[in-house]
Amino acid sequence: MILYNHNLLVDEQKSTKSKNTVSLKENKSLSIDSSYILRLHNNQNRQVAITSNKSFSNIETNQQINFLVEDVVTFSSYVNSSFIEYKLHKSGTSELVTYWLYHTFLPILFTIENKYYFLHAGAIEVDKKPILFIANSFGGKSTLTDYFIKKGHTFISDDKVGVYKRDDKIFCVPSYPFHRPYRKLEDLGQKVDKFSKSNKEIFCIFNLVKSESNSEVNISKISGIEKFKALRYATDIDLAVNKENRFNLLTSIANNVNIYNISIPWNLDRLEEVYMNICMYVKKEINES
Amino acid sequence: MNLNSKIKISEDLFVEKIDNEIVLLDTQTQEYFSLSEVGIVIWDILSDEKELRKVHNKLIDLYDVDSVQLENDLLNFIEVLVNKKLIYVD
Repeated sequence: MILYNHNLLVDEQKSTKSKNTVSLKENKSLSIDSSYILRLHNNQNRQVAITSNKSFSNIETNQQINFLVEDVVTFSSYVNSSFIEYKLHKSGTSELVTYWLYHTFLPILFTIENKYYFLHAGAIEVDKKPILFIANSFGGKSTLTDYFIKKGHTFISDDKVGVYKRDDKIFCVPSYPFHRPYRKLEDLGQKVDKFSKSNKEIFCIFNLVKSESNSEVNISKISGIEKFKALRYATDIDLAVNKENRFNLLTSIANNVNIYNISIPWNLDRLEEVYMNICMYVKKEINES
Repeated sequence: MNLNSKIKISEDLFVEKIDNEIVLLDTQTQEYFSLSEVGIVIWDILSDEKELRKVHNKLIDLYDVDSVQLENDLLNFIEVLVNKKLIYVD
């Protein structure tokens, strides 16, 4: 399985490690050092915590990073080691380990390792160009992403988009080929066959803005602090690590990617109209670029 | 606070330009602010000059404004930044 541009190897030895590979292995006698706690809160109705043997203020190579999911699993890795061990707890199943690894722990680990900045966004391709959808909670990201998938567009990510900068360009990383167009706890969703296979430069981001069911679909470019606000709000895995790097990457995204507010009439019968507006707008921008 | 005051920019502040604005993020409170036009000019000068009289002198060279009016406007602007804890009077 390829996840976030990393090949996941399950139950193989550490020696298989290579660039862009992550090895996962069960260790029934796993022991962790939780001297430092970065975050402790509820997620999916479970208590979860990120802990380490060293301070999070200055992340070091080979620092232990642990992710504890109440009653389900404890993951443990060392920064930049590409090797993850886990220990199941009383309610742990392989499905739940998969969910917490794909959906939460890998994004946490890659954030701490400073590999990617995660945006809470849906992402698909239009004419092979990655398009991201960001929004407030219940703002229509999943519904719109689902609509594009059903229309045959290549899928990039359901709700966490890993982003990085290279040569003044901002790239996004396909997450994993599952999409959840409904609300259900600890569930990755349905398999999507048409899944993007490579990292690509982000073409643009649409910030979905709810509007009256009978209003027009309007698309307008935003700039300056409005862009920053939209991206800051859309930040996923918002951890207090690598603060300056993360701020610089966020401002780089703002400076290098066009962001548009799109008003979404709150009426499912008009989704086709929203879809057509986005496609036509993107195609026009591609032709002009 | 007056033109003889010196200021210090908060070490908790990250600053970056986005399009034609400057965005300031206070990493302690996670609050963010933006500056545009004259605010950007003043911030650029503040990055080099810590004494407000020198900031005032540079602005006088840049803008055709009354010196007393400029002093009032500058001190008001600095007071806003101080109240937001983005800068401190040294």
